[in-house]
Amino acid sequence: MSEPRPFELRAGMQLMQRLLLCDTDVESFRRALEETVTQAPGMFQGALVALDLAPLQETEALPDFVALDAALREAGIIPAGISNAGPTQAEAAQTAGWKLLGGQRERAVEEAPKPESDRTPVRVVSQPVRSGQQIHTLGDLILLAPVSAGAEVLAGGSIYVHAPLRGRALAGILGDDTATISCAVLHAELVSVAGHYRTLEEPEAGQRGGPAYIHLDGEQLRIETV
Amino acid sequence: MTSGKGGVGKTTTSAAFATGLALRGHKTVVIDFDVGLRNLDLIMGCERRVVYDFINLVQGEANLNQTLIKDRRVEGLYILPASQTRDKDALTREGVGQVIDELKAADFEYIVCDSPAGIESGAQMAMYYADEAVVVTNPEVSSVRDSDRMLGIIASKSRRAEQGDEPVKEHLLITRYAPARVSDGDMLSVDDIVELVGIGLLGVIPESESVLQASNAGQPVILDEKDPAGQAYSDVVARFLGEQVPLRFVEAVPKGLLKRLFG
Repeated sequence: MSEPRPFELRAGMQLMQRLLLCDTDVESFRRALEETVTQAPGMFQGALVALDLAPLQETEALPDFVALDAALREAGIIPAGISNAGPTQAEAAQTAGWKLLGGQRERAVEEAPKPESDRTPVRVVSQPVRSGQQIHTLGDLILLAPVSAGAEVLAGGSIYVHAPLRGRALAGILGDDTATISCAVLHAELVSVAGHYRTLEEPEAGQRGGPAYIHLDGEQLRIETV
Repeated sequence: MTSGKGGVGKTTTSAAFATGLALRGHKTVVIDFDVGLRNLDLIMGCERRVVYDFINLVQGEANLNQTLIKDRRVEGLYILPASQTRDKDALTREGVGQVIDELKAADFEYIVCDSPAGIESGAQMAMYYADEAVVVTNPEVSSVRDSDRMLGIIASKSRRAEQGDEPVKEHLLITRYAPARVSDGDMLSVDDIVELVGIGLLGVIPESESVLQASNAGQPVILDEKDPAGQAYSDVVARFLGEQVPLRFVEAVPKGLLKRLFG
């Protein structure tokens, strides 16, 4: 005898970025933001961002929350709220219309800080990436099923494909030259690290069909067999 | 029945598959979604019996009884022809959904949707309400890639995907397979294709001259019990219904002495 519910709750995945605010100067914030967004416009358009005040913890410095909100929206970013705010910061932010996200300072101080708290979350994809599909993330990307020819996977960090890689893989797309690509079977059309790309038109002896590790050695993109 | 690429045998397969289901006693209807390029009626040999079509039905200009064509050879087999004079935009998602609900209410056990080629609205309309998808693929690289693309669309844009239900069950069907050309290295092998596409294999239909003859005669090839393609389609239907049937016609037949001498 259950009545029909007016909504259903489904587990969803929305990539939310954490933006650690290190300085209260809004002008330099705006400039840096603009620069970052220009590098990867698709990734920030309509992205949810939490403003993390952890770096301002010591000083309890008060940024201009109204201006910060405007700067983010101007860049096409949706500010989700603030986290790790001290009592005065929280009050000022709320007055400026910001939401307080879970995990404010009091709790954060009580709990031991997680060691990897400033890492971008890893995205794990377990379905095959089919031709014509594109998967991207700002952090590391782990793929558990094949990437088909004509598909594209992009990551701000490294890419790990635990299956055949037949499409294109671009790691370090925000310029991280320490990013790497590894895959169980290398049949890629194109691989790239931090903008240094290479197409794999002709099979090179020992470089295709097996497990491979791709990294940047200075300016040179190296494909190593594993 | 879908593929992305054209000319791989979707309509031939739809006709054979629907006929096979009906032959086994399941009430089946096969719908031609290729609005503007109507072909299924020709392959089913009922082109002169089309009065109303799928678009008339979707737009409420005719009812189900007026539109459905009952096959004269096989009991429990019906054809819903496409319109030749309209274009694909005449199909709406709601309209198609309504027709499918009506068919279910009319006790059809299987509704076979023959998709048009491409990945645009017509093909998406054909796969939207699907519970299972048969991806028809030829043993060539371009066909395999298009099938892969279509699988991505099914996984993201079907009703099951949109509503977060259990995903559409995907089957691979390889058509126009020529074992001799595979051993010569001209064609992709069954194993290559299965590895590239990564879904379960429903069957392999050998290249056969009788497919063309059957199409021109308006006779679904599955009705030709002597023909390898017809037999392979029977196996496909059996496997789809859950039977264990070994693959046939995937090994090259060694040429006899006379053939070797005279080619």
